[in-house]
Amino acid sequence: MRLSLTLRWANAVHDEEMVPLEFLRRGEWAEVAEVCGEPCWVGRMAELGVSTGRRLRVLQPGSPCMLEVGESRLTIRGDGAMQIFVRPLATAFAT
Amino acid sequence: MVALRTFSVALVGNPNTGKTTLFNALAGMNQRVGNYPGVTVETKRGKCRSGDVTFDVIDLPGTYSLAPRSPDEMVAVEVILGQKAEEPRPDAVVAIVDASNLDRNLYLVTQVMEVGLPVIVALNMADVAEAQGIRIDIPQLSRRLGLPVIPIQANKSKGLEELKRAMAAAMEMTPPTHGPHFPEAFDREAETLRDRLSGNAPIFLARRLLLDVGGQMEISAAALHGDAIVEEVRAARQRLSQAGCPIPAIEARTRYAWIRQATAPCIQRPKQRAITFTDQLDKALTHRFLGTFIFLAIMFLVFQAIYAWAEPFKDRIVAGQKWIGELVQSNMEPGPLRSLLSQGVVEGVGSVVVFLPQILLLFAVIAFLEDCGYMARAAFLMDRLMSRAGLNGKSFIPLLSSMACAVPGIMAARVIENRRDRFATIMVAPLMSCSARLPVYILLAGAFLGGYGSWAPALAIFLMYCLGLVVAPLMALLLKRTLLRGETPAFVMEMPLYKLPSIRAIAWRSFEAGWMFVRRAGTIILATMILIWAMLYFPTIGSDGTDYAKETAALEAQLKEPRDEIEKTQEKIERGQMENADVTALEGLLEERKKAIEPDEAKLNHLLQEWKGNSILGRMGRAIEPAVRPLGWDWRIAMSALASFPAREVMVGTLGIVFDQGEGDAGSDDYQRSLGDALREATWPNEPERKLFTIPTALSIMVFFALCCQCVSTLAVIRRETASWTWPAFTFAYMTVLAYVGALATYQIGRLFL
Repeated sequence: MRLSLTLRWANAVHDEEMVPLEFLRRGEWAEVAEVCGEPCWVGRMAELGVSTGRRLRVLQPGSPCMLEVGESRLTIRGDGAMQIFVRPLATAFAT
Repeated sequence: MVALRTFSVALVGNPNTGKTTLFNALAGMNQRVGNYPGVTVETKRGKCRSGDVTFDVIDLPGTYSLAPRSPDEMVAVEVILGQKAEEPRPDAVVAIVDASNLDRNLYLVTQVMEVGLPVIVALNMADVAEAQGIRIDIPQLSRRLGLPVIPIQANKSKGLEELKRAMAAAMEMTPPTHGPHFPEAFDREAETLRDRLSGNAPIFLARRLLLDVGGQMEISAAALHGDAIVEEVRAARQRLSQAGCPIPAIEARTRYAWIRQATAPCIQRPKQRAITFTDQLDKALTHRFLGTFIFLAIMFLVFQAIYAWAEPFKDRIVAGQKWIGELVQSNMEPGPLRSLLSQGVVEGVGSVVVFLPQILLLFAVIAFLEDCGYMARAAFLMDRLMSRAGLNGKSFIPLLSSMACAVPGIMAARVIENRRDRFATIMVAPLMSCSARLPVYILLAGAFLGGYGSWAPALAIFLMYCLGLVVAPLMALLLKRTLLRGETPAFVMEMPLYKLPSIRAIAWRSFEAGWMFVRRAGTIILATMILIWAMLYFPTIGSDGTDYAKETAALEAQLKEPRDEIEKTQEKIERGQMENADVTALEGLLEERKKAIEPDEAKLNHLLQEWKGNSILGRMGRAIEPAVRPLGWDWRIAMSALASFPAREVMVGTLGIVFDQGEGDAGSDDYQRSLGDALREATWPNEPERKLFTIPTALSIMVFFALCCQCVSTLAVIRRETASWTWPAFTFAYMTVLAYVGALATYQIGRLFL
């Protein structure tokens, strides 16, 4: 079910080249396009530096995954990573 | 004479920024922990001085923002706004920020700037930032933020004098007037809302009410002003969204934009981020296989620390307790006071102190793992497993520790930030088979399954451990779906950088945990131990007029000398054996002496047995017999189980008294063996042909012990950690029911097969 949901999302956002964070592979960089979900979750992510326009890198994919956001490292579970939509970036940026 | 001034300062900051280190460096030993009713977080207070100014420093719980989502997070907001009735509002706020992660840390600072108090920024970990090639122009940063910025190194106590001077200067400062500007529409809605709340409510709270969808402000506003206010807030948010000011996204957007603009000219970052020590270490430590292997090795060490390293200290405490008990026995006139002191108070105090080695060691290990940054990695590795039980990765260490002892285990659950996860972990931790259950398992499994070969008792004991391991996650899942249900915010955790922890900080944390346990839980444990003592002591006069207290005292006095002789002979034999001397003659003497006092020992035992059977607790055992019959128990087992409710390790000793073996040394192998024989021969009170203990009965007792919360220390600690009596009462109730049902099922099913 989770897979089909992901596919649906992936199709829906294909035009904007947005993908859920889950789709990124190890070491890939991306820019946060949108954080969806409960307002409380969106707020928490913002406090931790994950908000629209911020760059992040996947240190370890999977659930939970490990991200590098700015100068900090975060761990997020699969259900959370599904709610973060990102635009993959080709090269590495220093934030 | 210099006039002394007192100035109160609140300390806020993100987790892992060295806030506690700074607080300890400022306040030293001069600090105390405070709890507010209804919340589980602690605020610490301490005093420090600079010149003629005394500072009252309040250490608030580490937080990423001042957007309260729970009563626990509300504490910091209320303290800063001066809404705690019992204490005055702080005069200024010191915000500690991590220089190597400045943008993220300044998010909280921009919120603090809005509470209407002078703000000082303590810039910590500049050394770490420098090592990463980050250069900060501090004077310029200070100018652009409009706040004093003081560089400090909390772990090396550097920059503290400058910080204190800035704190003193803050007395003359006015609250910051600039900062992130929210759209005008937002400010207007906030003003309207403030007037609606009440004219003198802080504007800060009105803004939070508007910004925090489903937050704590909504809950408390609804409680004060009714649900109508929530509808109004919703309408206001709707209007703002339509005006291009989406809630809650607007907050992050506004604050980060301001932070960017303020910090950009004064921070130089390296073009290419250097690969750090943390990157290298993380490659191994968070690796799915290698990392898990290292984790298991470390966990083995943790378990070893509480299980084995603490053991010699525990033995010494038990020996000391025995020595004091005997001192009381031999120096006081027999009577209730002597019994109260030697059996109630000394044992009660002993049962508090006996936990200290485990608590001190476990907390030293936990403090080390946390301070060096490993704890978050361990939680990362274990999260996948623990999330299946509705818990998170941080629940692993408390649960594992509980297999040695639930008391330090439950205290270790403090590292879990999420309240529901923390409570679920605390509730199920006592289900893990702790070391105090082991003597009961060994006694019963050995006595009734030993006949099948050594594998049978081992298997039974193993199964008892498995029972806890299976029931605890199931119970956690059930709790998370019922009592502790609710939107658990999706799990997110920060991984701090690795660093070398300071020994002082570790020692302090360990000492703090031990002291807190003694002070808060100790009194309850002591009181309960005395209560159970009284219930086993009174009444002292039997229905036939026998004065048990007097007669046993007389017999014991009579037996003292021959018993001492026997002990001396035994020591002589042991010494002789060590020197390979011939001890046959001594052994003969020993046997003779033992035989000589046998009738008196039997008489004493009989008296004790009658006395305990006649005591309040004995009567209670008889009263509940109908209820425990289906478990395969008689009133004597029921009474022993009742007596072991404050501490399950009492069970073996009580069984000893009840089944004719005397109290003896419950730990010794000989005693266990002879008690095992006595249990095997015991019969039902009215049916001398029918054996009392069958394998199903023994198993039913073991299952009862595996699942029941027979430990007043655990309950006292739960009370302390949850700040309410409801949760320990609930834990006690559900575990007792679970234990009863488990024992019932074991006996009834066992009876069909065995």
